[in-house]
Amino acid sequence: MTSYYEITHPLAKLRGSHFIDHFDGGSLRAWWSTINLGNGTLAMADEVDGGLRMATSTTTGNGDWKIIKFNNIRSFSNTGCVFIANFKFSNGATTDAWRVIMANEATNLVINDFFGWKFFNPDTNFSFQSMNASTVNSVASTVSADSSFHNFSGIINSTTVRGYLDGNLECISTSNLPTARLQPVVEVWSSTTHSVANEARIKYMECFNL
Amino acid sequence: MKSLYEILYGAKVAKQRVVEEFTGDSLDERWTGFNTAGSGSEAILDSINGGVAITAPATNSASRILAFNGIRQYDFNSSVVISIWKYDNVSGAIAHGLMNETAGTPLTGTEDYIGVFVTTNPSDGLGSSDGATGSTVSMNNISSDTNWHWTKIHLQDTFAILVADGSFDAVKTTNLPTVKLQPFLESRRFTSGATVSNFRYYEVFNT
Repeated sequence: MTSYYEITHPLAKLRGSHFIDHFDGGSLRAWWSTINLGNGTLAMADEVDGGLRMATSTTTGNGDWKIIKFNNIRSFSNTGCVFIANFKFSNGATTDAWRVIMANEATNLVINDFFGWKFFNPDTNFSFQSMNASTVNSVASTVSADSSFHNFSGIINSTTVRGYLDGNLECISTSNLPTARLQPVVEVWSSTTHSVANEARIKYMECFNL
Repeated sequence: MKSLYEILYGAKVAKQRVVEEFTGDSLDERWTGFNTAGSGSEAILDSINGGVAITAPATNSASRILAFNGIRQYDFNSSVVISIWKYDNVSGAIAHGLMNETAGTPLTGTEDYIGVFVTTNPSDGLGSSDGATGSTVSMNNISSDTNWHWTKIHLQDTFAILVADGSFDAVKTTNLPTVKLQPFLESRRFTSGATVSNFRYYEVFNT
């Protein structure tokens, strides 16, 4: 009988940090910490292939923020790691946004040292970003934003970061790469009052060091 | 689309297995920590490839042990254990594998266990006990240092094989455990100084 270790990692190299989450069951796994501000929902979805529901609300207020992360336990290398996420959203307001990224953040909101995918309404296409301590690169993909699940992934080494969407290489950046160790972060937010909730779902995420 | 089940088991019926990567905000709730004396602790580290750090109690000869709270689902004569680990190599010991003990330390020889033991003295190796007598065979591939290592124990009814850092290392045929087992990860202090042991991967399954 085969070990999980040996089918997922070459024996010639020591395995680094690695995690996989299918976002199933009655509650979010304890390895995530959450930030749940304002109204809306951050809970497992009772629906086929629903994963985790991250939804803003239509309630008047200062904004809804739904964030999951590793509480600043940053096991992943900014010079050699991979993330893969199955994520979707359906939004109807011009202030809605989301990011699926690897980030160093030490505060509630990611403001530096990260790479990954984002959509800030009223963008038309999904975009890939990288940022060091001060400057962000944002590269639009060729894929129009829609409300279907997509496979968003990224890979970074010491010189280059690449963004893949549904398996296709969409974006490459060699400047403004993150300079500090990373954790997975998924953010959904709406900064002002809006009439239609941003309904996001994540049903798979995997990260590992190279 | 192929299932993970089919990759791991083919057409066979699956047996008990746990895979632990020690990532994220906190230690998975399947683990229970206890001390043989004093008060130790553990935490997931905020560092690249850091895993979990287990700090032994500040009491001579005391251990901090992570285990499955006495839930013993692993077979003493047909199981495999894989670990990635390191220790600070100061004044204590690291041990990991499978044990029958529900409290206390598996190092005394009066409980059934099988595991890898690394200390600052020359008795490092593959250790086991049949509940009456404990003994150890030496490792060759790994010496006392502060580097990450990986080890694999194949436990059968009449022998146990140790693979260390990818190569065959040792075989043990005496004093093998004879009862059901649970995982254990141990950090033990001997005489002075803090002892910290780190793990970033642990897998055990029945074959």
